[in-house]
Amino acid sequence: MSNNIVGNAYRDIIEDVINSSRIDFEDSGVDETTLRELQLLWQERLTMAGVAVFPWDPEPLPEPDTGNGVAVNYEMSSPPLYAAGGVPISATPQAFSNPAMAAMRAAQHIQEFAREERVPAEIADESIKGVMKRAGLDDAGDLDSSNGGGGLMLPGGGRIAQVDGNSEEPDLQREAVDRLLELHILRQRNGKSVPAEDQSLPPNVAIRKNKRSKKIEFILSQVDGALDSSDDDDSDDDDDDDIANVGGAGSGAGRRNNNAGDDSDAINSDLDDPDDEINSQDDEENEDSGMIMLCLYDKVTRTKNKWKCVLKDGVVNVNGKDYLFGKGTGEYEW
Amino acid sequence: MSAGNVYYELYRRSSIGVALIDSLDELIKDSKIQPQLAMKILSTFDRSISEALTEKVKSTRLSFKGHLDTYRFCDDVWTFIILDVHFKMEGNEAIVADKIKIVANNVKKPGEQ
Repeated sequence: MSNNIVGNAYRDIIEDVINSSRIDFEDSGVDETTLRELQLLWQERLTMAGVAVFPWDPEPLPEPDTGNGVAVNYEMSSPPLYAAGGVPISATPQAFSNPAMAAMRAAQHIQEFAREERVPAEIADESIKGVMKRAGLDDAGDLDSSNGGGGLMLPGGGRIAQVDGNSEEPDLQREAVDRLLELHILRQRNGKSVPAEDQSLPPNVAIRKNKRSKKIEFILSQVDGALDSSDDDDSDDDDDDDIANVGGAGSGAGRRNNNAGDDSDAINSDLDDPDDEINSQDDEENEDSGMIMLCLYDKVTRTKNKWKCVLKDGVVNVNGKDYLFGKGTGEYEW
Repeated sequence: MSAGNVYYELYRRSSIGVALIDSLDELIKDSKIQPQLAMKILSTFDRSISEALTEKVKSTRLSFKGHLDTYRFCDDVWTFIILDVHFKMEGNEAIVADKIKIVANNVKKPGEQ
């Protein structure tokens, strides 16, 4: 079973790379702990990919938690935020005045959403990290960028930084989860627990609606507010959006031009770009990620429509598992 | 890259390669390492995985059959998309897949005879 050798082979490769890179790290003046961190990150990602059983894996975890110590502490020191049945208990205002606390709640929400929506755990974990970082480091910058119109205005004058400004960010799903989470927090803040199916938000909450929120529906089948005064303006965009999804980049570009005319919120049009890219990337990824064999060829021969190839040194990913081979032969007809 | 052994970057697309690249990305984003260092590490990875495959899994065999859907030969790289693939692994383990993409570089590297 060549899947059995994968774990050890990968461990050897990782150790070799890490050991060989030590001198490069020293030359670059980077601390040894970073090298160690790289190793851990690397192993962690492979574990999450689940392509094989690895020697460094602990007993199978119920949930791939990325060693987020802060969140764990929070869990221990606080009662659960959700009562049985998933009904959110309205949070105290103090909880939100502290960005770190909010971020921890955010992490919980993301995990909730990840479970509900079957978002891959890796994505959820990434977005947890994003939330944590945002709360800790990038707070001011995000507030500024959200002034452009993407932010959520809260009734108290507060604002939850809505970081969808990184339009070059290729990972829409992560942002989508962020966004859902922020909406969720917003609902809680208003002291109401709104079921996900209920699209209405309190009227005093102004949410700038944009394309991305619709994309979220599309991807996560998570409903989003039909909730603001600008709905009428946007309603025809909905149709356009659907067309763009089907018709591809061409119609998307056309829509953007239209928007430039009647929509003063420039961020709307910016956000379309990554969406389109994401869609095409997804297609590509479906083809590329997984179900791929990377190898060397020794001989490729063809007689009429019968092909034969002699392969070497291959890494194969089939049905979510990795396999290695030293010698491979393939026969197939065209 | 002119001197010494040159290794294919092909395996960077594998699970272990992608995991490394993502990890490096994260460190770069956190400003913990410079991109130049990441490139060096990737080169080290190219060497390491090539050697590991050549030396450690040398005896592991795999054969497969299927229907060739697409073939392409460009820049000395073969790309096949094969449908309805039946793999036979070491120890008669059989695996079936709807589709697999094969990217194969020449065993002989450019300049080698």
